[in-house]
Amino acid sequence: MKKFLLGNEAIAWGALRAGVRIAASYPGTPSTEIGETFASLGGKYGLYFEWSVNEKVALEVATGGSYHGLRSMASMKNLGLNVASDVLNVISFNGVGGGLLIVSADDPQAHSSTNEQDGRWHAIMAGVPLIEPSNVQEAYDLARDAFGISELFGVPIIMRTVTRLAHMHGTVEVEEPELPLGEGIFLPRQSYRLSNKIWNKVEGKKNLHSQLNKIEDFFCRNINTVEEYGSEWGIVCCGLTYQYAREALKLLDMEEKISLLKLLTPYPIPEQILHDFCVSKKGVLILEELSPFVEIQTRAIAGNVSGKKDGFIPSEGELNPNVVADAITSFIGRKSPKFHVRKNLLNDASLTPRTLTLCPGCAYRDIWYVLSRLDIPSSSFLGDIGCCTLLTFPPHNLFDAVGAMGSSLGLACGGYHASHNEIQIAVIGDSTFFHSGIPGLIDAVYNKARLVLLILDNGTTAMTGFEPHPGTGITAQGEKTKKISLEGIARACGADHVEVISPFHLKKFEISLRKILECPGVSVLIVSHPCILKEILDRRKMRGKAVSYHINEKCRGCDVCAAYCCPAIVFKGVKPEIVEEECVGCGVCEYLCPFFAISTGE
Amino acid sequence: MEKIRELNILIAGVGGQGIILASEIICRVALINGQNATIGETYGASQRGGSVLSHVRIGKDTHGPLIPFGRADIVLGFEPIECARVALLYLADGGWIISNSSPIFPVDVITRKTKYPSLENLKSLVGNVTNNVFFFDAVALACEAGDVLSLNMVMVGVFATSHKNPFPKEDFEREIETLPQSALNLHAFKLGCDVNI
Repeated sequence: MKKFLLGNEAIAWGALRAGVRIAASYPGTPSTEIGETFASLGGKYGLYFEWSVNEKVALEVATGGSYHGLRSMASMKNLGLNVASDVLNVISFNGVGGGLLIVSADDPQAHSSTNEQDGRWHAIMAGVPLIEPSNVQEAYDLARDAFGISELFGVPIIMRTVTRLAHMHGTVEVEEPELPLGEGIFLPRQSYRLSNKIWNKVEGKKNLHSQLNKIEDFFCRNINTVEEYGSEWGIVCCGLTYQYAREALKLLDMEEKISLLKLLTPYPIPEQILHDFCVSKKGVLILEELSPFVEIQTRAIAGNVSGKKDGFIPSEGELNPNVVADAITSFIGRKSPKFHVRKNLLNDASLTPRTLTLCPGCAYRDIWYVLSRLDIPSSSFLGDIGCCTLLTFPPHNLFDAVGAMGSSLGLACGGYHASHNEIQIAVIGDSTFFHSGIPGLIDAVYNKARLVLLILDNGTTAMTGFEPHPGTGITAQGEKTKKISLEGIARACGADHVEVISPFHLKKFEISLRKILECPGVSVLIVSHPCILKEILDRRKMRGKAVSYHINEKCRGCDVCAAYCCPAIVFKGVKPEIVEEECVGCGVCEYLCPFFAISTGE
Repeated sequence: MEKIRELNILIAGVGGQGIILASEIICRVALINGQNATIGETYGASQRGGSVLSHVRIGKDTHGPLIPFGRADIVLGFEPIECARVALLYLADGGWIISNSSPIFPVDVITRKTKYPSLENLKSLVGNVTNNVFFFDAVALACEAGDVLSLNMVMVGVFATSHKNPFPKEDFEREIETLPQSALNLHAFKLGCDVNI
């Protein structure tokens, strides 16, 4: 049957078709929809799926499933693979039982990430084969076939995607996943306990290397394709860049004039294919997203290779058909088609950039409003990942530094030991705290740091689309479970002072915060209020309408409400107006207005 | 229906306006008419006030999710600044712009660092690329239909009526009927169809 699927959905459908039985993930753009598809379809097709507490645990859960003979999968975003890489570098030596697929979604241009990271290097580091589809159909096909490849060679396999493929809709020929038969596809349980590979490390590595050689041979015969037109130039297209190359050649009116190698297996690189392709050409251009991963490997095989290292392809930012067309023209010594002449029009002052900001009614705004007005003489504000990162951007500009998931705590600890007089304030979301904030909190207590931790508890993983987490009392597949208490964890970690508070009482919140800043040792303030966007979406489903506020005639245009920076309060003249469609009725502006000029009703 | 070679539709606006659903409706109609269709979506954290851009590509000669610069046949603007920003880069010379005229203020306008540009200003800017520019108040029509959230179906309606649409209007209606709140959405679609462009 044909389905119109998102790249991520296609991957999930491919895995279901292969009979995947255990899947685990931690939400992260642009990978989240894989897990969401499993969460909604898993029950029907006999799949166990969980939102794990972090990516390392997700990969361990999937590996445990594999060891028990079940086809298993872990999916995550680029940066999540770093978290999982600790265990990835061990399991590649141990082998697998049921096929084990790891999907990592890279984010060229860092649309939704703190940096542009190329996850492919993990494949070389861990010695794990890597595949990369070029369209939505291949995402389905390769996900389906990856489990068999993993079983054939006894190693895990990584699929790398990029944002543009993960978030692309296309038509996919899908076969109905087989319904569960007993325990599903069941391979002999891997005798991982008896394996001596883990003790005899050099032997284990030798074994892995010999498997990688066999996989390279397999990749030389499967998956990759050459479109040979007998041209003097050639292009190696890695994954999605194949589509950009086709579109670019169409723009240049050079379709079928340059030979293409569609390379979907960047590691282990099929040397014979690349050698044969390059040897017959005057020059070969390597197209790939992010770093020169295939280019460096190909340069060791052939001498006539170009790409990022000699400047034909940009080393930063994502590719697109125009960038690729520019690269091809300069590579073959033609004149550039000048696609970019209109770019200067974009500098027009009227095109105000649209930066991300907090939703109207978001409790995080209240936290910023109070924190930024505390006027502490010497302090460091350390932010974390998730919606709380939005407080980094104007007009909030709250944080001195933001690192990786959970980094706010470690950064605050280091800050304290470097400068005992400075107050360290770490701010982290609830899901991120579960993910990797807890070790930092224990470190702070154990090593006698003095800091204040604000856990912004909105009761969901908001930034990625409201996935449940251990504090929500619900599992990925919708079952009730134990609700893990943030307060209980903070106390168990030994924090000296723990308090739970609602942020909407701005004055009370400020008083609590001032009190806690005086406390010695480690203080934890759990600021609890449900995500307003989730509430709005739930309310819409029930067709309810929020109370909305209006500005009345008492307004003197004093600007106090403007300083709150709510997107629902706009100025078309001197005095503010409240946009009814945006206002969610939180009432903070009513509280702030010194002239009682903001009220509900007529 | 004969195979379309290439029809590129760009839909630009702000998170929460229903752009992805509008793209899907257009693609589903293309698919039932036997055409190839893809959507390249840019959203990420866009529900928090960010831009959303959807590349709808119909036809057998398209490759990949992204429309090249200067190759869009039509830009459907859900928000005026976003529409102009995207049209300047992607619209074909003399292509069509159909846009909602009702703005959503960016942060810098909310904090009064800068003013929201006038429609005349935006029109003269996109005049560098095309004279086929049509702005109308789609938010008012969506509210008339019963909910500002039906803005996306008003825009689908305007597209369905435009000469850039190769598909029967009834197919759009049939697809919209499968959505939740179909009465509201159909009403909005019809109001969009009645806009005189």
